[in-house]
Amino acid sequence: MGKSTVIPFGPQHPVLPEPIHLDLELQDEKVVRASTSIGYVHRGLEKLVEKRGFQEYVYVAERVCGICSFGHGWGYSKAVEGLMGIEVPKRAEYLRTIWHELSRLHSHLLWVGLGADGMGFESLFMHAWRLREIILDIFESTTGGRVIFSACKVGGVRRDIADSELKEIVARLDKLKKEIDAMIYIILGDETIHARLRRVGVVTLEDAIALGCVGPTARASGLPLDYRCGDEGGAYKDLGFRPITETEGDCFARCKVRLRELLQSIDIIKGCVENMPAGDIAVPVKGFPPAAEHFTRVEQPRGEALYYVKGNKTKNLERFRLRTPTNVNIPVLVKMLQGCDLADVPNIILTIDPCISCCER
Amino acid sequence: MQQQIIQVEASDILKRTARFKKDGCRLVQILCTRIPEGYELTYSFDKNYFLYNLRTIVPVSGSVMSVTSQYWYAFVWENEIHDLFGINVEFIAPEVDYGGHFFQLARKTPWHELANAKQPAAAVKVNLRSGLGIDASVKPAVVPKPVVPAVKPQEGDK
Repeated sequence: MGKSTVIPFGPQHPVLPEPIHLDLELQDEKVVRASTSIGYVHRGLEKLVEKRGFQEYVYVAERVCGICSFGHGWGYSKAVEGLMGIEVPKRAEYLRTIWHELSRLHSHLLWVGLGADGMGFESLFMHAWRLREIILDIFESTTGGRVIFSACKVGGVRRDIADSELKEIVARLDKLKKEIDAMIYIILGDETIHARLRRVGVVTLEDAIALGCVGPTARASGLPLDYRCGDEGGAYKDLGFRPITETEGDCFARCKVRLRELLQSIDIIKGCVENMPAGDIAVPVKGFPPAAEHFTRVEQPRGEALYYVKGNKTKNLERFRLRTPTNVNIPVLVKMLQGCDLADVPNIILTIDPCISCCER
Repeated sequence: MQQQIIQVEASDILKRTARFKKDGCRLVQILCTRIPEGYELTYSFDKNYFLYNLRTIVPVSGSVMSVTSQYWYAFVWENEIHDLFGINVEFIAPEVDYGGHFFQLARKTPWHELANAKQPAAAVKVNLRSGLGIDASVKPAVVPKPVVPAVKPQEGDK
């Protein structure tokens, strides 16, 4: 047995888009122990709720993350709506579902690019990000923004999408679907990707349950945990949503779940467009949040996020709490790294799709 | 969302957590809120998309037992509430007890202070920014100045 060595991994590292630090204890090329620390860019956004009006804070909630920004705006709005007993119009729920699923497409395509880049598959990285541009263009034409949308508000949404524009979106998604199909064929059939991802970073179903995994990380281990099956709202119940699962639990299975979810998101958006109800897109919000509290959840691209709000009869909320999916997936990452090869560390980290800015609310 | 809040004593947290684990519930999060009495802790458990919340209040000088013996992954939130709020969490599993170094913060326990935004509803004036329909600013109600009794002119004053 070789000498034990501790090497620091991050907070600045080529495969990490955001700062997280890992101390990897190695024996030869094997990781025997990993410990993590975060908080390099902690922003105190939860604390900021005490200084911003409850309606104004939607803009702050969206800025928690640049990738799932719509989902955070929706989660916060939904929590306040639950607290104040506001019922959102059906059309607004469908529009929220469309934007949320577009965010999932955007997030998963971004992840495919980052994952490919981490493996040195540069052409796939550029191809995935080229496809992501199509989604960003749809965001720009429907909300005016490419990263932060300000489309969601307490009581509904700020913007409507005309029926003609919805049809155009479907036509663009049909074209995109063909390109995604071709990309999936390449990824699932590529020998190098198989060699790098298969039987690497395995999480069994028992481990996934014991370590509290969420999102594609849990579903790749056969755990059908998806809050879109719960009372998420939106159009999921009407469209009969069923989660996508794989059973192998390795890096390749996590990759497959995300690729299949790309196609599923396109189908959900098309279902929303076909069944889009007519009517208002928002209801007026009167008064201040009562002295009460409310929990709600949203299935973000990376997994389940929990939102908590506590009112005190004033314009400002007393407490806002956001428990993000990466926050829960850090423990499983630590377990996955134990016993892996040093060369596999970047791939294992990337396949949980960590979003450190989400952790650093 | 279907949810329930269950009030418990701080000393019962570990026992109740063990019971939730036995029932096959998933620990979703641990929430800490600073209140005048100390810290309000909420442990959320999920089963079949129903959220059970164990609620307890811990005094500022008090401490709470770690639940990492039941849910190992709770160390993320236990280290977080220790680093941000300064609450003492006892017996975190030793391999994941960061001893105050989980978050690399410029200032220690930044959320220990009580929230200063609590104002009575009557003291808040809402301005609506035209066009956007959002609340733009908070202006405390103007407090009338105390009336100062006029000084009686003294003899000899001009």
